[in-house]
Amino acid sequence: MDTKSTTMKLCTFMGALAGTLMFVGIWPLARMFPPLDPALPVAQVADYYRAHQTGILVGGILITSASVLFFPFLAAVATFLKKIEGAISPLTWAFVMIVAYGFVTLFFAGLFFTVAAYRTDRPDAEIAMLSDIAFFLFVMPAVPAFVQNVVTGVAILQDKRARPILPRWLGYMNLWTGLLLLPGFAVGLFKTGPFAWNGVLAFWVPAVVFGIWFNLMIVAMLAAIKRDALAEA
Amino acid sequence: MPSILANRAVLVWAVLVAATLLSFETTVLGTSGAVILVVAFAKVLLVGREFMGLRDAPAPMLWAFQSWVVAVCGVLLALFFA
Amino acid sequence: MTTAERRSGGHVPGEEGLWVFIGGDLVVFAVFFITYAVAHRQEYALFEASRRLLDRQLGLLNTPLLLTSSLCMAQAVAAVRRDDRRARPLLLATIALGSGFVVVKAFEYAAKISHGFTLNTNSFSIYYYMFTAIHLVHVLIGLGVLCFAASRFDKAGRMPGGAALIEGSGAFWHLVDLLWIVLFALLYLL
Repeated sequence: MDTKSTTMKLCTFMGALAGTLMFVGIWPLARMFPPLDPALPVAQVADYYRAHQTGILVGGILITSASVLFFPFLAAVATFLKKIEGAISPLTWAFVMIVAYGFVTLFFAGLFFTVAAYRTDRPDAEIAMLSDIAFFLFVMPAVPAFVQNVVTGVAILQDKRARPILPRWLGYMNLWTGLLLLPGFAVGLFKTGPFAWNGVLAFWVPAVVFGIWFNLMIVAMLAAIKRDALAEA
Repeated sequence: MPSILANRAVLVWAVLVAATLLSFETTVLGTSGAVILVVAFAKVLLVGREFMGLRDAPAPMLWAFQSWVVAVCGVLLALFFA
Repeated sequence: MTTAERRSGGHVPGEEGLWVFIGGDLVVFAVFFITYAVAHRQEYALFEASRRLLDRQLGLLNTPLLLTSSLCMAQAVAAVRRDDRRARPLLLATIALGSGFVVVKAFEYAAKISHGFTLNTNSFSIYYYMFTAIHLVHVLIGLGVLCFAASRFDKAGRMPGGAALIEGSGAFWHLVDLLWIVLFALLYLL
């Protein structure tokens, strides 16, 4: 195995690390998984931050770190897309630009969780507002992620090689993932029910689907690295 | 050249449209909702088997689809009417 | 189906990877339907009263529209398989009927909104608008796929490169039809 495929492997594994850090940060540390009920009264939101201050602050560090570590992984995806597209690669550029701001929101989500928990003597309404901003930053990237998945899916399916660089089912997987993120577009409209930011269809379905997508991407990319697909014609 | 007006697909379509109209009429007449639900999933089964071509698909695919139809229909029946 | 395929246990319509998408969509829509059924149980009176506000005639009109477009699609797939020139007109008819569904939905939404029945009117309206809108996105994507397939015919009205493209487009289009059948029964009829 040459240096290049070792680098690709490392970048891909970085995604697994980022996913784990994000999950540990948001779930056992910050206790924001599942998210706070958007219908919760302002005073109770503020009390939640006061009660879980340390966990949220440490979780914030993990979430912001994870947001950066996603980028080597996304760069590995982009490298595959570039290989598929060749010299003229509009979808690869689109992918690179979309993820640049689609994943940076995760950094800001961690930042706003931190700011909200930082001064517990702040008025309730301010803490609740910072909390709302954090949650919107956390769930609204469904919008860029939808386009990102469509771009990835189309690029993979465009591959005309007899043995495609990435398997075609992965292309369809990406299109499916994109479609399921659609309920996430409307979280701003609801405070209760399945389409609110803690609802079955706007949170749980996209969260599970994102988990499946993420793991299958890693598996398929590692398989492609193993057979040295990037060195093929 | 084979006819596109008289073949198996047209027969399936006629059954589907008839079932749609009938289940619409029964709600007007006030018949049981359970019947409507079962008719809807019977239509789903027909669309999958005949139009999607699952009838000729490998057995695991056909059975996965048919199990989906039966399972979802069963859960919905239980939730709506039990 | 050729004898070879019969011996190997059947023919996968379209390409295998597409069924990852279709299977995944079926699973998630099952979650949608069950979520609705649970909410219906919890707020029975509200759901029953709100459902009567829907325009059942327009809902009913849309069902044969999609069923007939599905029939045209199935015929178009069969026509491509036997190299029949009627494939393209059949596919165009599918697209026309599918577009009709979109137009009817637009009128239905407009009428509902002008009567003050909007997204956040109550918990039933949320399900009604969100489910039909997500389904409508499927219809629009399906129409896009069908237009792409229609552009692949050569001048003689044949489709070079085999039936996989049209079979796959067809499978997705039938999925759109199939999901509507259940949505129609759940939202309008039950």
